[in-house]
Amino acid sequence: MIARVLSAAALGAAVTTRLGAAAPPPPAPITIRFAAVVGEQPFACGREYPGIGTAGTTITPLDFRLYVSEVALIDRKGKAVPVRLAEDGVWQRQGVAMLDFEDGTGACSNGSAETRLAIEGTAPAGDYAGVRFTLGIPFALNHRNPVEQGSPFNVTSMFWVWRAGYKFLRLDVKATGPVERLFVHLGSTGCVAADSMPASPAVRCQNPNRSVVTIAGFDPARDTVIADVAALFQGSDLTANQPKTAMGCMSAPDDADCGPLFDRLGLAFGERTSGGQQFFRIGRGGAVGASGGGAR
Amino acid sequence: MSRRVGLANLLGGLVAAGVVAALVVAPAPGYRWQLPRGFPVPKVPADNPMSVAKVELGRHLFYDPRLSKNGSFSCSTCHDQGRAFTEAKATSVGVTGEIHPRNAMGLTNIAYAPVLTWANPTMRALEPQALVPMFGETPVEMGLAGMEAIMLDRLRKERRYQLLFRAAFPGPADPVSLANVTKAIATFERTLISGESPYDRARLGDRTAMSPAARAGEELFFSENLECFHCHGGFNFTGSVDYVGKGLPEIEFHNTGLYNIDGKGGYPAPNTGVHEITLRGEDMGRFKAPTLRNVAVTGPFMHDGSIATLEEVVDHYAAGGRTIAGGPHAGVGRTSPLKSPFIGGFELEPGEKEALVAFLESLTDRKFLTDPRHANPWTQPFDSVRWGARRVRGAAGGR
Repeated sequence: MIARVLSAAALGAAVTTRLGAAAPPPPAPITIRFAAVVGEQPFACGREYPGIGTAGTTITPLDFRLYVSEVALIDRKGKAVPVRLAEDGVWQRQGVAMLDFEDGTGACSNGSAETRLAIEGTAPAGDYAGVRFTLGIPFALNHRNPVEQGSPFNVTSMFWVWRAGYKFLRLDVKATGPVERLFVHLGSTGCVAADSMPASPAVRCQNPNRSVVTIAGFDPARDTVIADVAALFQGSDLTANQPKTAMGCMSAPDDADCGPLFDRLGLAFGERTSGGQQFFRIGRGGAVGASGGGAR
Repeated sequence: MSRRVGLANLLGGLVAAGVVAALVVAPAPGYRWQLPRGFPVPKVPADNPMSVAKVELGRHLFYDPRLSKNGSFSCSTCHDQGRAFTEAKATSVGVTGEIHPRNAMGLTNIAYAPVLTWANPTMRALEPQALVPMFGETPVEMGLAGMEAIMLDRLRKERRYQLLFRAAFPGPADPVSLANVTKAIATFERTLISGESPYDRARLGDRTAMSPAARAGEELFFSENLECFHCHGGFNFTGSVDYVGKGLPEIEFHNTGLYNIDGKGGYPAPNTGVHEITLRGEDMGRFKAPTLRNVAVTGPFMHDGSIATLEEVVDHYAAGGRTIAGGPHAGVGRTSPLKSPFIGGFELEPGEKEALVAFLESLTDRKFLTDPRHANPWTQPFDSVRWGARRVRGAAGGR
């Protein structure tokens, strides 16, 4: 029985391959929808969310934007098929997309009215059952003069000029308690070159801090990628902040407040490996899709 | 000499491309540097050549509080011409009241600096560096993150800018852009060249320009006993220097034993020097040696403003590192394992400390500190016709 299934699968694969070689499936438009939530609630500027983190802190959003890149769909055989991102001059460029969950209202007053809750591109038509993307900007695009770049690489709120790059993720919140504001700024740290020529391209970063996120069972026609603020903070005590470090976590390796956050972002922190990312998850059937205004 | 080269190789080897504008010799047609005698020509990025209009625009921007979140700060707030573009505070305070961990660095001869700020090896050009005070959020300095459109709109409404941006950036495109703001500010900063101090007048033959004490201090400064010149050498009195024809730029960072909070050479966070950027243990406490030109007016001293006077600075180096007896920063810098080998300490005869300070004071260029070309243009008359305004019958041409 098992053998018959396997051989049928092998036969099917062979047929598909042969047909595929003769006529590759044409690229079709694809939309990967995103939504931001705080636990069971849609994310919205101006709202308060109680019960966040290990101390049950109440938070109010200040900002929430991020970059994703290296987007691929996973087909039924587990193969990653790259999504070619559209170049729209605003949100997407050179294979990088910015997602923007804040709408400039409420306490998000330093943000922008426009939101962006989807990635647009093309991929060969197919039967997909998963999505994979990198939270972050590829190394080759992360260390250029930001004011010489087009959108979304010229968004000053995402500049991280002191560390020579961008914030891959920016999640800022107000909190009730002794720590009034918390910032989660994810980006590459420890970036140096071994060469003394000023234009040396041979830069490397000790901690790239790019997280590869895979969401199994994801059907782009039906599902949404959920970014859950409550899940990100679940292991963090938002009433405490390590002295002499950034409020929250700005990716500093000596800031222990980053430990539980990196764990949930799927990133190693010092010697500690991550138990797997828990920031993003699948939203079935677009049930939690409606957070904020129009995406495009 | 061989020791000098060895040091440059040893300490200058760490450079990050980071945010880099390729520095090459950019021909600047029509632009004439006004350089002190004997000074080399500064390098300029190929995509931002010098021009008189760009200098004038950059000067206006440098002194313009519209470049801050609430209109209360300009670059000049922390970079005061009279103090060689530093300020009197130990560490600076940003537009929201946030205290910066470091002392405002001077801009004297910044055109010759191949690496910028106190200890960031990724900061290689003035254009992207200007983004740090404007848009940085840790700490907030001018507080403009997310406000660039508002800021540019403010600038578009100003009549002087309507002329100056067009004059500085001719062409069909809207010249009022963030890239052009940083280019103009960088261009102005490159003109902040100082080389007419009493020391320079003596260098060029006027032996009466320096006092006998200052001349004695000069001897001490350049002696192998004190070793000052190893890190503060060359025409700009810093080991980190570059210019047209230099070949390889030299970049140096040094741990001077200012702190040793853990017996292992540790500096108090967040001011851990190059280590803050590279995260490498051996970079703990390594900072750039600033130019000593105009140093006497730039106090308080060191990256964190933790030494008030030049006399105490000399004491620190004479001791071969600072000892802090108590408190959270207690430690004996002299025994730091990370200290530069040139910080060995020295003994001074009576009067020699005063001589050394007199020499440092002879590096003060009074003309630079009061030069109207570097001063606030918003309190000076503006020649709108020069910058492209049409002559109107009966109009005065200024404002």
